[in-house]
Amino acid sequence: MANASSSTLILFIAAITIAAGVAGTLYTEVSSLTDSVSERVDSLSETIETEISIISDPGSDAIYDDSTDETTILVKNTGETTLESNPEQVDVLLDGEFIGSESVTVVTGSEWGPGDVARISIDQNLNNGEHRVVVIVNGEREVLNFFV
Amino acid sequence: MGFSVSGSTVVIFIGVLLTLSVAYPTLDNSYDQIREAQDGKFDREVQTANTKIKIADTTYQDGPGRFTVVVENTGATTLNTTKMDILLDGVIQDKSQIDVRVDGDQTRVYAPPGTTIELEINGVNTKPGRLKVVTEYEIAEFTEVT
Repeated sequence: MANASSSTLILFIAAITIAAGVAGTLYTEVSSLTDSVSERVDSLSETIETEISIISDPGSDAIYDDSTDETTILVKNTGETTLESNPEQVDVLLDGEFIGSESVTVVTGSEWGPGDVARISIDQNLNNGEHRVVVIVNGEREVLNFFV
Repeated sequence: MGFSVSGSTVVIFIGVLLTLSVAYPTLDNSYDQIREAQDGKFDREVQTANTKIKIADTTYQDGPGRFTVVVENTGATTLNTTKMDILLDGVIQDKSQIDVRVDGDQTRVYAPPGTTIELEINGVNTKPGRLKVVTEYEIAEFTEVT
């Protein structure tokens, strides 16, 4: 009789311990998952709120200066969120080649807020002919074709 | 044996309830956040579709180095003149050098549909050949200056 009670008690403790382990693991993993979902949603909503527009005049001589080999692109923030004017947050492709050394300067305002324009300057020699610049910010992509 | 099963079930049930109490608010907030962002994007698209401007006149005075642009809001949305940009020969003009009047009033900033916006750009040393006016909603107008 005492042996039966002991084994029942042991089994009970084991069952409760396993159940607590399962419940605890479930809680921990779902908490971690919701944190990831929350971060992903923050990133996604920032992407949705981001809109840019390249406002440079492609027919003018202001885009490429052949005396300094500098390409200047004007990008307007037409979205709802303030954008980082850090060059590391702005991806630029010139004729398909990734440019990691561009400079980004906010022309209007102290930060690149909604309605403000940033100037992206790229130091690279360009041959005469047609060229293409792609600017990517927070997943938002704009393209400018111009002729030198 | 029976009590073990009942006890385990209760523990797991409590665990599931705690998990739901953590997951539901996050998922609900996430849905609201995405929905709000999408609504904002849709509103911007509608504003953009309703935006239209027309460059009515340009005047250059080489004495004071002033270039005046008259723009008509021919769309269905109100424009914020502080968020408009002027490019002369592809060069963006400094807003501190631009005096703006909406229907002749220098104190107004917003230009409703049907109003006229006069932009006087100072410090223009040579007459430009190209003019581009850009609104806050990405809609722009271009003209060659004659």
